[in-house]
Amino acid sequence: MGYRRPNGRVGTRNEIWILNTVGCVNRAAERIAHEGADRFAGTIDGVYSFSHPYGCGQLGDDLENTQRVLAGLMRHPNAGGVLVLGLGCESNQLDCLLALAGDVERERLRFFNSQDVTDEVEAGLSALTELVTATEGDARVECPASDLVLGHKCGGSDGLSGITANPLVGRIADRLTGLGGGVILTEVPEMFGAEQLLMNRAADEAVFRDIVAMINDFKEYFLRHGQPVHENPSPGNIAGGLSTLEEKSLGAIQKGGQATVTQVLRYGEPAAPGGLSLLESPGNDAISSTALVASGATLLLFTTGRGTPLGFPVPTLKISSNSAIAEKKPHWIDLNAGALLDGTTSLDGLADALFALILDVASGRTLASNERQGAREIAIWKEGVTL
Amino acid sequence: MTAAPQAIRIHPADDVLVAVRALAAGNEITVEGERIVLAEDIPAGHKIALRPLAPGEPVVKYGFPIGTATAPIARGSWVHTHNLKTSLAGVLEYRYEPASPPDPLSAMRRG
Repeated sequence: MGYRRPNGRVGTRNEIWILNTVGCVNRAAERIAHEGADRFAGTIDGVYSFSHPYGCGQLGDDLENTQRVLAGLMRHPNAGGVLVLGLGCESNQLDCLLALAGDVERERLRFFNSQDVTDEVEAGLSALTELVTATEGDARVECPASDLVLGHKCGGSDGLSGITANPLVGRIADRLTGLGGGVILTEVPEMFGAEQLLMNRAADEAVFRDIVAMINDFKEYFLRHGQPVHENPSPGNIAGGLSTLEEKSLGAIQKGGQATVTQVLRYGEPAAPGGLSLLESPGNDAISSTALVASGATLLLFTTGRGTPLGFPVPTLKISSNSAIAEKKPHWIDLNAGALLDGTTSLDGLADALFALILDVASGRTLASNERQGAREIAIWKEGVTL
Repeated sequence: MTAAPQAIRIHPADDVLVAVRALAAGNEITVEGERIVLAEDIPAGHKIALRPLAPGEPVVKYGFPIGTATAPIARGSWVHTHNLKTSLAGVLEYRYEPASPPDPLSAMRRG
């Protein structure tokens, strides 16, 4: 059961999102969200703001990347209503951002620059009142699973991730894309060493060329900064048994199952419906997860070996690779793939359980652990100069 | 119901097993009927050499090379950053080879 929006996309939640053009108004946005959440409790699914430090002192492609991610969040089907808060003097001018975001339903959108009003928090709360009125009547309708867009990601991986949690998530990729749904895979540096496997699954030669460009452009990004491409495994990865980047990548790409790759997306580019997409983004957990959401993911499957409390604007299901972390940090983990190592459950059996959990969470019958913990944040990839 | 495995070989071509839990030196484990005595302690999630490997030899896991041995590796010993390094270099040229390769996990073996 999902929220079908006029443009056909389906949301797994019906929330008001407050997005700010520039980091200078993070605190104002937070206050509006906090007071709005209290005032409108019990109406929509929640009011949330997402702080970030960018939107000014940026140039060219770097500024455009920030704008594309914010625009993707503005268009997101989980946001029944959106308030865009600007300051007034920033590089990321409000009217530019609105133009870039394009087809956001105007009745569900409010915006203003903080420098133009006397009290930006009061103005924000007035705008919220109007947005809630527009949004609170929205109701879930029955939707096929193929309306889901899943983002698949791993963070804090260990030597078991590529054997348990990632292949489990890969089964979901196969199942959902088989039904016509969409799955997005990212973390390009963690494809190095395994990229030929993905290239061999390109839907056609044009997609193959796009994958090659994505891989090589990312390697060039490292080399431009004088960094080697293979210094990837983190201290936690290494302690967990991953010795080289190739080993990490071969385990990481299991999250895509055996699905055919149908499109390659640039950072901030929206995914067309259906199929397995590869999205250009670094592997950094917060940046890549945000990128998945900005490109349209309405629920994330996030595998982890070492454990993490992270959560993002959409329900973030955390799947442990091993039972030890699931037992030690139960409030961080939604499903334990370590059970596959006990000899008590099969990959297909656990995939059935995970698929059922995905439908429950997507339908609002259950919350993901990140939602219960209030863990929702964003991070934006910055690769350019700071003025 | 099968007993919980102590180590897993992911692909038939693999040179290494993955320890499912911490295993002590001297333990004997069985993989596909073959017995291996562990030469050293192996932490959970870490790799065990299935056969001797010489410096410069590629090490295979998931059916693909994961790096190169940097020291002689005895059967049953711990394979990690002290004796294995990356083979990744810089930008490569790629060829379009759309025939799909074997699924590395369809041949998952349990030890």
